[in-house]
Amino acid sequence: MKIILFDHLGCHAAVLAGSYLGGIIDLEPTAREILALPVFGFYESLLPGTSFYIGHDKLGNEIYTLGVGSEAKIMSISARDISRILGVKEHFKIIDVSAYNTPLVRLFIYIGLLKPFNRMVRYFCAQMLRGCIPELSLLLKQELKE
Amino acid sequence: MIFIYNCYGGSHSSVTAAAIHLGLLPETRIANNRELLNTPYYDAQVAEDHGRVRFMGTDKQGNTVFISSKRNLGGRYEKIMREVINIVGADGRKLIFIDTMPYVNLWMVIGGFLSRRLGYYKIGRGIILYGTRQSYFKFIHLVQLVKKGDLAGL
Repeated sequence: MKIILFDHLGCHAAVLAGSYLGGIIDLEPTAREILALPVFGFYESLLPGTSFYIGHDKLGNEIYTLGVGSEAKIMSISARDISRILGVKEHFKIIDVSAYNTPLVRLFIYIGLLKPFNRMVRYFCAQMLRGCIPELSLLLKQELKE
Repeated sequence: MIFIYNCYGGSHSSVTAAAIHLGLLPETRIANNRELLNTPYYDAQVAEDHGRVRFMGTDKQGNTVFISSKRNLGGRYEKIMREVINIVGADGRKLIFIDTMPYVNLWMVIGGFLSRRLGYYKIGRGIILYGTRQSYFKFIHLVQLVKKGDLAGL
């Protein structure tokens, strides 16, 4: 199975969720550990549509992230419909974690477009998002159980 | 091939273009209000339907035609869908996404907002029909480009 995690740019909450699923980080990572994730906060524009491969979980499921802007819900519907039209046989699961990119995180994402602030913004985002991993883990468990 | 006409709400411009493609609406003159309103899904989608890829029909060449909505994603809709297709390992080469938003005029925006968002069907529908008729030849031109396979400018 392939697991696709949706968030705004595919490189914030989705990366944390994917890394947790893949066993790369635990429930209480430090900001330094989050900053060490290769694609965390890796963006050059606010345009969605970039995907990243994160790794695979214990069951061998491949984990990807994908940036879908603020339209995660309709993109999930479209992705399922188009897969059905194309007759995709491979089972895949879409999980929307964009709600964990809080308005403050999103504000920092905007600020991060300014190169001098980029590293500082990555650090702040890591600090803000690390607290939501226990909640994210519950969502992932629930979604993957269904 | 699989053609997916897409616009903001999947209610007006994408439906009109898809219907012209399928021959449900005339290709040589402007459709009248009754013809437009009799088109499947025309001014019928609601917010909960956004994102759904709906089957409109099969053209004379055997290509299937769908409509979809993408809200404000613009050209990124295709990019996102192609990323998903790549991830799930499907063959997306036969898919052609056609963005009908560049042909949407202000009347269609206002009418669509009144009819679909606010629920003022009577006022909104009149405005949207007027707007669709204003842009109708542009939709015909778009469909002709699509049928000809000249997609570079879309």
